[in-house]
Amino acid sequence: YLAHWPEYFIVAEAPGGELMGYIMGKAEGSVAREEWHGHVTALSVAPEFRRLGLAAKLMELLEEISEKKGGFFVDLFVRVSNQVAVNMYKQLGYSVYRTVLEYYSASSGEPDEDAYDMRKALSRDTEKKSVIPLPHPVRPEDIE
Amino acid sequence: ADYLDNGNNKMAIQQADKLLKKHKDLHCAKVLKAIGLQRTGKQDEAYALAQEVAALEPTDDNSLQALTILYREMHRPELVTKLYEAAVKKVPNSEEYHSHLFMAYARVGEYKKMQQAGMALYKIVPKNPYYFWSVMSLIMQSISAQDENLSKTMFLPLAERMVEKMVKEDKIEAEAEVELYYMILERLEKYKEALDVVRGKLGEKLTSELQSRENKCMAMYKKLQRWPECNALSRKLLLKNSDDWQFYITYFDSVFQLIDESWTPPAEEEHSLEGEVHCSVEQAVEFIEERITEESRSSRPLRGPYLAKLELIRRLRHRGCNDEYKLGDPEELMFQYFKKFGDKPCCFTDLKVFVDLLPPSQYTKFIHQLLEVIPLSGAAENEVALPGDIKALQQHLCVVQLSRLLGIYHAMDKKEKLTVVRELMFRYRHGLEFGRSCLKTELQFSDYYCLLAVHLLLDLWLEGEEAAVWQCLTLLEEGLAHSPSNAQFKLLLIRIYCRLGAFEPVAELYSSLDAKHIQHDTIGYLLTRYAESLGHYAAASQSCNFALRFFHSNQKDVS
Repeated sequence: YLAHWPEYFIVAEAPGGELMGYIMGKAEGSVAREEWHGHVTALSVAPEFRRLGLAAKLMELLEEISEKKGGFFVDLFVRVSNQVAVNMYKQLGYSVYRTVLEYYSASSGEPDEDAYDMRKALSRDTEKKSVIPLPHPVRPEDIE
Repeated sequence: ADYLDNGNNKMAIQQADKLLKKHKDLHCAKVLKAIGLQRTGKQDEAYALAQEVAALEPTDDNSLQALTILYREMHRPELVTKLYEAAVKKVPNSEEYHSHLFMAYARVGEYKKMQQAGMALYKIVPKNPYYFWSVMSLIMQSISAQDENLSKTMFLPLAERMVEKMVKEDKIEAEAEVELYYMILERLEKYKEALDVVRGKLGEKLTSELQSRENKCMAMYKKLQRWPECNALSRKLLLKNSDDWQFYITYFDSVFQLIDESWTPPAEEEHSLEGEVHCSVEQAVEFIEERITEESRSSRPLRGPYLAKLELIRRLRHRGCNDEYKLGDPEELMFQYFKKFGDKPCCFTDLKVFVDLLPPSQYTKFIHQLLEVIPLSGAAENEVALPGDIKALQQHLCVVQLSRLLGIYHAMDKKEKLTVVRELMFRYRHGLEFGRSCLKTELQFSDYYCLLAVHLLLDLWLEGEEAAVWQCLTLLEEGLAHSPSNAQFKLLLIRIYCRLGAFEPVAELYSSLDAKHIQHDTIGYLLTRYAESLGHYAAASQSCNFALRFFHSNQKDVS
C-alpha cells in the first residue's frame, strides 16, 4: 500500500506528538466501466481523540484525493454489526450499496460476518449511478 | 500446473512424469515437477532437476516463469538473475527478458547491474520508466555506498545529469520523475535548485499527495533558513487550516528568527516569495488572536489557535519578555480552554503539553478552579458530588488526570491515597450507568477512573505496600468484565501477573487482544519475555510462533 498509494496514507498527530488517527486507501477499478474509484482500506481514531471530527476530516481528505484522481465514487467495507461506524458513514453521505455475505472471516470459533459495501458518489458521477443499491447481496468471490 | 496451484503436489509430480515419458525433454514439465518436489520437501531433488533445465539455458516463457517461482520458493533469488542473464544473451532484443532481469537484480539488491539493465531496456524501447529505473538504481547505489564521498561526488551527480538531460529535452512525463529529481537534489543538498524545481513548471506535476508542493517548499525554506518565506508560507497554510499544528511551530520559529536578525520588510516590493511576512511579536499576537476570534464564532471550534496562544506564551517566557505583551496568565488561558474543551478526552493530552507553564505553588488552586465549573450534583458534606451526564464525567476525568500529572496524589500519605482510591472506584461504578448501552467493542466512559485507581495502588505497591497489588488485580478484572475491549486493562493485567510470576492467565489475555502481524513484534515481548522463565514452555513456543509466522510472511511479501 505504502509503495503503491503513498498519497492515501494520512496520519494525524497531536501537539504532544501522540498519534491521533490514520486512514489508508487506494484507487482501483476500470475507467471505461465507470468503476474507477477511491477505496477506504482502514480508518481508525484513538479513543483519546474521539469526538473531535477527526474521522470526518480524514475521510474528507481521502475524498479530495480521489476527486483529484477523477474517481467516480468512494467506497468502503464495514461490519454489519458495527452500528457506530455505519451511522458515522451515513452521516458523512455514504449509503449502503450492497451486502457482501461472510466477507469477514472470524478470528476464533465465531461465524464469518457480513459486510456492508457503502458508497458515496463523487462529482464525476453526475447522475449518481454508482450508488444505486443492488437488490440482492453478493459473495466475496463476486467482487471485482 | 493446476495441481500445483491447488496444492496437490503429488498429483502434480505424477502428471509431470507422465508428460516426460512422452516428451523427454519438455523443460516446462521438468520444472513443474521440480516445484512439486520442492513443495513436498524434497529440496535436493528439486534443485538438481531445476539445474538440469537451467543449464540448457531455456528461453521459453513457461520454463522461465516456472523456474522463477521455484527459485523464489527456495529463497534463491540469485539463481533467477543467472537464468535471465542467459536468456538475454540468447535473445538480446527481448524487452520482456530484460525487464525480468532487472526485477531479478532488484530482488538481490544488485544496484549497479540494475542500472545497466535499465539502460539496456531503454535502448531497446525508449520508454521513460526504463530510463528512470536506471536513475533510481543510481540513487540506491548512492544510499548503499560505504563511502559517503562517493555518493556525493559520483552517483548522485550522475543521476542528476541524467535527469537534467531529460529536462532539457523536455521529456519529463510522470509525477514520479519529478519526485525523483527532487529527491536527488535534496540528497545533494542543492536546496535552492530543488526549490526552483518545485516552484517551477515541473512542480505542477506533483498532484497526487495533498499539499505536496507546499510541504516540499517549506522543507527547502527551512534548510535554506529563509525565514521570511517560512513565515509567509506557514501563515498562508494556517489561514487554510488553523488546526495544522506543525505550521504554528514554523510560524513562531520564523518570527523569532526574523526578530533576532532584525529583519524588516522591503519598502516597495513583495515581502517574500510567498507573500506577507510577520516579523514582530505584535504581529504574531494579532495573528493568533484573529484565529481565536474566528474559531470562537464557529459551531465546532478547532483547538489549534487556543493552544497556539499558550505556545506563544511559552516562547515569549523563554525569551524573557512575556509581561510586555500581556497575553494573559497561562492558568487563566488553560482554565478557559478547559471550559471550552473539557468534555473531550483530548483535553488532558492537550493541556499536558503546557503544564510546565504553571507555577507549582498554584497547582492545587488550579485544580480547584477547574472542579468548580463542572456541573456535579449538589452533595451533602460527606458525600461525593457526582456528574449528571457523560460530558460532566469526562470533564471530571480530565481534572483527575491532571491531578495525577501535577503530583497532587503523589504528595499524599498512604491513608489519603487509599481514600482517593475508594472515591475513584465509587465514581467508576457510578459512571457505568452512562455506559449501559455501550457495545462490547466500545470502552466504558468511566474506565479511566478504574485505571487511575489501579495506578495509585501500584504506586503504593512499589512503595512497599504488599497488599495493594492484589486489589489492583481485582479492580482490573472488574473493569475488564464491564469493558471487554479495553486493551489498557489487559496490558496492565499481563504486566502485573507476569511480575507476580503467574503466567497462566496471560496467554488468554494476550490472545483476547487480537494482536496481529507487526504487533507480535512490538508487544509480543510481554509474553515471550516471561513465558519461558516461568516454566510455561508450550505457551512460550506458541507465542514465538506467532512472531515467526509474521516475520516469515513479511519476508515473502517484501522480497
